[in-house]
Amino acid sequence: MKKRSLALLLAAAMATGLAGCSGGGSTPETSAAPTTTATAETTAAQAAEGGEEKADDAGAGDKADLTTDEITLTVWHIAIDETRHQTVTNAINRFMEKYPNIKVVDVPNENDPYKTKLATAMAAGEEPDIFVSWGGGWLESFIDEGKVLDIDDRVKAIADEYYPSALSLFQVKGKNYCLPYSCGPVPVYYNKQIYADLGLEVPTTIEEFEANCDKIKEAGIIPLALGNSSQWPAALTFTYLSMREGGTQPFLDAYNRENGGTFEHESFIKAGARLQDWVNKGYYPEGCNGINYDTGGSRMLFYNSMAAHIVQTNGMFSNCRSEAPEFYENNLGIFGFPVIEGTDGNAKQILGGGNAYSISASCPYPDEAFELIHMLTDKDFGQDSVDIAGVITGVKGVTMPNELTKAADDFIQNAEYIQNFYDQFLPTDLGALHKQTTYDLVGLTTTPEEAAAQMEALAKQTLD
Amino acid sequence: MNQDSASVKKLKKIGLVLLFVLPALFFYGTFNLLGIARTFYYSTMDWKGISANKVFLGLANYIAVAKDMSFWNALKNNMILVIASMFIQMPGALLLALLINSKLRFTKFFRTVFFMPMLLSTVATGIMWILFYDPNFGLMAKVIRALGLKMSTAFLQGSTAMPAILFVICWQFIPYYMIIFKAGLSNVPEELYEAAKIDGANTWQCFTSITLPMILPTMRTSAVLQLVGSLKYFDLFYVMMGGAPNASTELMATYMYKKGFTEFQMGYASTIAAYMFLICFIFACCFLYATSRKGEN
Amino acid sequence: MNARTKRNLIKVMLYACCLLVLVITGFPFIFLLINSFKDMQEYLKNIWQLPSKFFFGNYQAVFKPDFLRYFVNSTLVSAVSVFLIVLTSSMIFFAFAKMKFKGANVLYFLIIAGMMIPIHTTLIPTFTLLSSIHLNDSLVGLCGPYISYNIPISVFILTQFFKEIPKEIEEAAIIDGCSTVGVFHRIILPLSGAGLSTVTVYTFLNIWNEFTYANVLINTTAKKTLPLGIREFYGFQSVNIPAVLTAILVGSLPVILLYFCASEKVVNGLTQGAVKG
Repeated sequence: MKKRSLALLLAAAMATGLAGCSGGGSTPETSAAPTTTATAETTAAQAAEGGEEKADDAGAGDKADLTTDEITLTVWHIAIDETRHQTVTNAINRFMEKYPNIKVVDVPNENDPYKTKLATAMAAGEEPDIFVSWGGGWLESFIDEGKVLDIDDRVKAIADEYYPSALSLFQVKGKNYCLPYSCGPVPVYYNKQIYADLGLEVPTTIEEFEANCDKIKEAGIIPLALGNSSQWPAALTFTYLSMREGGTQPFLDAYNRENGGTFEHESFIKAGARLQDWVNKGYYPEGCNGINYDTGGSRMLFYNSMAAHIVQTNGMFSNCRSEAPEFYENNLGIFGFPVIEGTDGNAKQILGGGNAYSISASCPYPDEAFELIHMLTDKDFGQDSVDIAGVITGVKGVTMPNELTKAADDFIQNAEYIQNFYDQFLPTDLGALHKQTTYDLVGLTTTPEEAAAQMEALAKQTLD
Repeated sequence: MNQDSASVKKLKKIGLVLLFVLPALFFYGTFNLLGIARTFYYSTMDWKGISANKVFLGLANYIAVAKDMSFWNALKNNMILVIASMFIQMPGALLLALLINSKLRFTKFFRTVFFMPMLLSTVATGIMWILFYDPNFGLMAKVIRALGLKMSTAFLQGSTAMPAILFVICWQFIPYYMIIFKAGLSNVPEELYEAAKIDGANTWQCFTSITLPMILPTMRTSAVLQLVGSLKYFDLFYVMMGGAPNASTELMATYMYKKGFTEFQMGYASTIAAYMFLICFIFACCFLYATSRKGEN
Repeated sequence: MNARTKRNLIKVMLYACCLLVLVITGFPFIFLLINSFKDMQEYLKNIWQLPSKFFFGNYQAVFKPDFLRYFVNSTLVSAVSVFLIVLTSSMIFFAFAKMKFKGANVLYFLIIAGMMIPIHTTLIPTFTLLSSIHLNDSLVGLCGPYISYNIPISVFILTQFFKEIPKEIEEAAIIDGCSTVGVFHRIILPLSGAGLSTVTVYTFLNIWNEFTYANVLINTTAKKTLPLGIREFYGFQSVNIPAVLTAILVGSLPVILLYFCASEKVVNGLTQGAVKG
């Protein structure tokens, strides 16, 4: 009964946008547990009614609108390495300086265990106020369960601070549920020294790229480093190939089940065929499906000039900078994934991904939490992030400290569309199958047609 | 009067039993029993494992898992693991235990070093062996190249992944069973051997007629531990396959984890766990029953 | 003469076997030691050679106040849990073994059934339970599942080992006028030395290296255990492997030392001492 009335009270409070001011005087620690369950019920109820009105979304509130009570906000993030953690800590300190009454507790987590930890906490109704996601299907699972606060209007009010492509990367069903704090393109990283030694030109088309690879192969060097044990690294290449074969639309149509879209579209089959062609031509190191990216297998090949290219996320920049500084200074170059002429794909469609902060639906202080994630992703943070950690964030007005980050940033700025990694974007089971089929393609244990058919069969089950 | 003292005695006995039983039951009841009960409860639900929203399905999940080829494939891989554990780890561990139980010098040192693989955490073991197996930089690859062998250095993929991981599992767990066997061997009274020597028995006869029967109960214990451990094994397969085991290396536990925590089908995952529970239980009971005739007087 | 050479030959072969196993089981530790003196750059250049120059950064990173804190936490959690596991499971095992009471078999099977449940499905119930009694994010709370999930296997091991204890010794004790508790304390416990030491070693290692529960249940840095601390060297997308290896080496050294010092006493001392005394 008590719980019930509390839920009603909170529903009323939220509807008038006063949630942040309610419960004056009570310490958050003691009120946290009942509030959590109550608000979760409320949102679930709202979602069930289909009513999504979060009235009075005046955007990022000014300081005057925020509570003056002593409160605590918890942030779970995955910036665990020293440089990235530093950027987060700096931003939190700026926030706490501005709002001395708000205490921010940040919990850095390691990437993979974080997923288990957050899911468990969510199931128990003990989620943090603010958490990190990769956007896409993973976040959508939480949204569908009414666990994520709808901040669409608030984000729209400050949208001009961010690149539209960066925001769209994390949108779910066309709505904003988060603010990006890292947003990076996937380029092709190459070894400038090898290119100079062999007299090669940076390729723009796939024919040029393949011609380069053939020459590199002849010189006894592995054309492309790949450590595909965890299945996502080769998926990057597959995704690019499918985008270059057919543009971005076939995938979106297949996902949305519109315009007769299917995962058996020829662009996917052609991409699979080309990937296997590359495997057969020996572009990849032997046993690449058994090489582990995390323990450095594929990066060692690249840093030691035993392999000429690697297709990787933008995390490669900071890896390379700390792991092989000389190589980073002298040898590292990037270019956009080559295009296939005569198709719907073009160089302005890029693959990328990153991380963004979301607010839990159960957070009792949505205004304060939004102000916090705003400051955790703003221009100051963006500048810090490129300066200290070498990570591009998707916020505008950041001065790039060197050519490489500038080049990467240009990709984001000039992009007409950034496709999130398929495995992040798709619903979780389909994403897992996408990685699995790509792994099988590289291992030559399936055919492009079969892989596509498997995808389509599951898509029919989960998306239709 | 007589009746009274009998009932007092009975009460006393009950009290004593409770005193000895309750502490363990307290922990067991709060966590294990709850875990088991909840698993079976979740297994009848369509539940993502994210919020409290659940829909009762009855046995639909059980039917779905029974029809799931991936599950059967995982079970098959588990059976390979069980067989490898029983037929490689047990004899290996017994040999090592005999070695360190022999009258050689430095056995204490040997025993400590032999036991060291067991001391490493799974993550450490996993990382190390991933490096040893690396097709380009790994120790194995270097040895193969140095020997000029014409064989693939791709260990952790395709059909070689399973044996490669099994080797690491043996490497990690043989020392543990070695220690259990060693403890069993220490319990064999020295007098028995002396008596046998006087009767003119040779070393092999001593082994078959004294050592083996005396440590048979220990072996039975180890076998059950291996059986259960292999059926719900997770760690090294998950770590060494980069968190994404495929058809040739998927185990029931990794499959359950994938369903529950990466695909958010916690209800379905719980059903897999329930099946695992039942399979383990049936196997263990059958094994104990089948071997009990000999073991007990 | 001939018999003697034969015996010597066998001895040499046995030593050769020992050496071979020594290399197979020991070289990873040499590997850990060598690589703990390399930084990530050098590690990526050569894994298998000796370091070209000794780099102590990994040890500096490991011997930070935080890491020592994790160490203390792990020691506390392991010690308390192992103590309670050994105590409670040896008590219940004694009840099973020596007190004939109704439902003992059912209870025994119920407890053994606890061995069969995979841990990942118990994460959510355990987390929910602990947070409802406000024991999540606490070391005390962490001990709960550690103790309970190790009880079934401990009871099982003890029961199996117990079957090896000669009945005569126990009967003699009862004739000498030992009470039930006395029998447990003076006869069964020491005699089950082998079983108890096995349980101790097994559960201690389990808990010392446990990651899954610690990851889900602990948030605060000051409450992290060693396995969580080791994972701190996993970066955002990359891993500082030499630092991880160093942390692993430093983290397992005390266990190795403990085992080296204690094993003799635990395994031999208790059993043989009791039989002979």
